[in-house]
Amino acid sequence: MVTGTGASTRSGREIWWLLVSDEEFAEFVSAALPRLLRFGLVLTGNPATAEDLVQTALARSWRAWRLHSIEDPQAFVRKVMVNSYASWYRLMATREALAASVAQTTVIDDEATRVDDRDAVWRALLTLPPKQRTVIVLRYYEELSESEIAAVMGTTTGTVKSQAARALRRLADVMTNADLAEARNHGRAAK
Amino acid sequence: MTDLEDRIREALKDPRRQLPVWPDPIPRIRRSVRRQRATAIAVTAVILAGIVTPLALLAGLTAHGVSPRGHGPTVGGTPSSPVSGLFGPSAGLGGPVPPWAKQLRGEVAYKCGDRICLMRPDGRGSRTLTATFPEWDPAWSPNGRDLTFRGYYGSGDGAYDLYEVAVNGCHLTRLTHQMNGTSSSWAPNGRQIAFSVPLGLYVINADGTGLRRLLGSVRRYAYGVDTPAWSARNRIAYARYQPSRHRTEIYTVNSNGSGNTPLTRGTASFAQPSWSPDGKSIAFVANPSGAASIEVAAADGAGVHRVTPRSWTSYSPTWTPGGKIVFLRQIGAPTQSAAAPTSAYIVSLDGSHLRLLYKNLDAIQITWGPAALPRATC
Repeated sequence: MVTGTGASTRSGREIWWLLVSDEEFAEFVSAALPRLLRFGLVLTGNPATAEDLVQTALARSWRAWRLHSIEDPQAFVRKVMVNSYASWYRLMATREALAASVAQTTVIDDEATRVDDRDAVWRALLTLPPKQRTVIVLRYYEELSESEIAAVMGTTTGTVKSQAARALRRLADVMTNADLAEARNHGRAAK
Repeated sequence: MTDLEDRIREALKDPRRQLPVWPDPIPRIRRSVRRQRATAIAVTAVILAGIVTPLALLAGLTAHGVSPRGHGPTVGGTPSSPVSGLFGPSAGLGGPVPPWAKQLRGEVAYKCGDRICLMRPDGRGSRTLTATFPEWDPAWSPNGRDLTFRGYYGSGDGAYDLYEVAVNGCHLTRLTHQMNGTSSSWAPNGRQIAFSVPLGLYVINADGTGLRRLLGSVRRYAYGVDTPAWSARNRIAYARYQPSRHRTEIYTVNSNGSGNTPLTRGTASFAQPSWSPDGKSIAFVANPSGAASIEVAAADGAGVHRVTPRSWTSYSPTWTPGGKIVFLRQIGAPTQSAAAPTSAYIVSLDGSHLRLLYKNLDAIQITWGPAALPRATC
């Protein structure tokens, strides 16, 4: 009888992933898909791009899981999505269609103001460059710390801080301008 | 917390912004996998063409990339064999092979990228299996003339199954259908093959008949089975993962399913068992998810000792006909799209005479066959 001596809190995990069958993978996808799709949507701002991004990331992750162990599958897919998004965005010449995806929802009374505000913020987010948008999404949607964001994006915490600061400044500017424009429109309508 | 931050958080978490969940996502993801692989192949082909063609032209050879019989350059400087049938030319090794490798008997199969490559121990006769794509888990027949492997999408039905190929490239047989089988191992008589599925161990005749389950996880996910190894003394060793204990142990079982007993027991995990040619010793990986090392024990589990340096990450042990252990050493970190780079080393049973065999092999599996690799001249 062989007696092992080395303690390992992750013992067997690598082998388990090697054993992952299609059924296991399908189960993971089934559980994680709604959250991944939503993350894709807030990251890209565009439903079609979000679906492509999730599909690409899951395909890449499937292969990677068979090659080596993954501590946190959902975090791994999220990281692949962030990296893929960054590389896709570099290839895209324009930010077409990003601004066209504001949800069309009819809401009444007091809720209307809040909905308008959410849409205004959403539109403002779409004006951000991809890195700044990614930082904002990871910080305020995924609620990650600066060091965690740095790890996901493969950058330093200093870069994350500066990107976040620029993004917030830019969002504040965009939304102030939007508020002024709206006020002007209301003024004209009153006259 | 500023007002702006609250507004951002509220906008991002706006429950109206949802995407419809795909009703059947797996086929969609599979299509994406196929597209990614096709793109990778195309890119690789373009890069290789850019390297090989000028080399071939400089050498005064044709630009078709296939060398004349027994001669001709490859990227790594190891001559390619004439290829035909189910094999294509190989890109060769990532570095020179030491001269003493010519003294080693047998044949080598290793996973090169998403395919399986074969070669003689000195690097000659290299060829790439092109039967299915991708391919994993090569296992030699006892006479070294056939190879089983796990192939994917071979028939276009999206299942990975067990295939058998003659190493001369003439015959391909699909042994299982929709089994999702993983690694395999031949019986010493060459008439049966054991193979694992994620939750069980099966045996099938080498002609594809007589499928029977040897072991199975009755309760769903009670345990997983991987990497069976059939010894010359008719004991089958396999790695058994128990999710409840988060640990993998090596078990052995008789070829009729009786006598299923643990070979290893401890706080570490163990994986990838490999029997010596005489069936008296067994090598395996200890602590596969950490600082993996190769350990060797007697067939009953006694006399365990480590044969690789503790600071290395070593895996995929296999035995040469002369009783040496060949294994892979990880020499870098894996990326999101590729396994870690590796080199192959050879060591004696007692851990002495550790030597570098194939530098930068970049394989994740290696298995040594018993006979001289025949030419692929189908």
